[in-house]
Amino acid sequence: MSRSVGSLAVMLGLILLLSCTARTAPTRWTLRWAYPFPQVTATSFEVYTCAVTNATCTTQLLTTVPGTTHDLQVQVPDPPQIQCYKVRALTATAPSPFTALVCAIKEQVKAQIQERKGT
Amino acid sequence: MRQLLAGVMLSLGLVSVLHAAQITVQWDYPWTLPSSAMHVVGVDSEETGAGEPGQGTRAIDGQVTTFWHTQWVAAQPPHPHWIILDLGQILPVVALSQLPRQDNQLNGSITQYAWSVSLDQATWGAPVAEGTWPYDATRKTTTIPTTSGRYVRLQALATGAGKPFTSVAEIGVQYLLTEHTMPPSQGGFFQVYRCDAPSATQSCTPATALPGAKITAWPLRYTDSTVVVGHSYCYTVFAVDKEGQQSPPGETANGQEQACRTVQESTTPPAPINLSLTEE
Repeated sequence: MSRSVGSLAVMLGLILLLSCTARTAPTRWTLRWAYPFPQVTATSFEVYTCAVTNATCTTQLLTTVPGTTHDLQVQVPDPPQIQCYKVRALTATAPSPFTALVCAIKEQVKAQIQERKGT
Repeated sequence: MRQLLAGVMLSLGLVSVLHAAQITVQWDYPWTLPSSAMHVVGVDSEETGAGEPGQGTRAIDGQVTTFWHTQWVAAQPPHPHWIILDLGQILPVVALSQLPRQDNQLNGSITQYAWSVSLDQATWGAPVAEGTWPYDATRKTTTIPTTSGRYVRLQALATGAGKPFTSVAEIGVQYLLTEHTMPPSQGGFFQVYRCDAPSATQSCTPATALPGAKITAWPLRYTDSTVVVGHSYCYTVFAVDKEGQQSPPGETANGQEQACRTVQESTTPPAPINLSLTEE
């Protein structure tokens, strides 16, 4: 009994050790934009997200950033593979059009794409 | 190159936003297809007698003194008569014209007509234009909604004085020049002029050439970013050929030489800019 408990502890430790060594430092992705229009007051900015297969990317609201901030940026999660974003400004009268799409792509996926291009 | 001096069809698209008011001037440019680019696919009837020949090819030979005439010596087949032309390629056709015979006779001149355009000569659909023409020798030009096609058919449903003949001196086809149909080595450019107007319903002078408004590439469009919200402006567009000859001013759909707009504030705020994503 004690021998099997000891083996289990060793196994768990090994798994923990392996998982810790295999894990790289977490990647931080930051989305930034600008709104240099003094005549227009943006009350807030909406950040929308989608998988790359979603062409419009205007339905899933990820977060809202206050328009009063001067630091127009937001941290976004590490993408599973590819994750894309659009931003629009909200004003007292109407929302603005959306920005163009930008996408976060995992290095691993980029490499796969490069490989496919090479073949 | 003289053909560049034909009219410009002018229309205005207005885009105005709070941070940077803009007016976009855009226009089309119709071009007359040379007779040599067309050929006659068929006619229902033609007079081939030696005395006064009237083959269908005479309707596109570039000679106003010759004409297509339906058979009249040995037989006189009744209406309707038709002639079908091959334009050589699919073109965005915008106008069709017919010049009656110019020999001081009106025999066979069409008074009731139908124009049709087809992509493949097999399917014609409804006529792109139909109606009546006065029984005289003037050129009859019909503007049509832009229609893509390679084949053009003119049907003569009736001619003057109750005669069964049909005669046509020349048929003309106008199409829109595009980046795909612009003849190579034409040269030339379009020049956009502007003047400050008291209101959008009043024209103005003098018009001055806008800086940077020499348009040499497609699309035929110029965005004026130097306008002020609340002010009115009128625009004119000229075509200039490579020898420097300037065309008459383009016309709007209403036949005006100037297209005028008042710049109004838009309720749509500008989109954020410089969106970027960085991995850290």
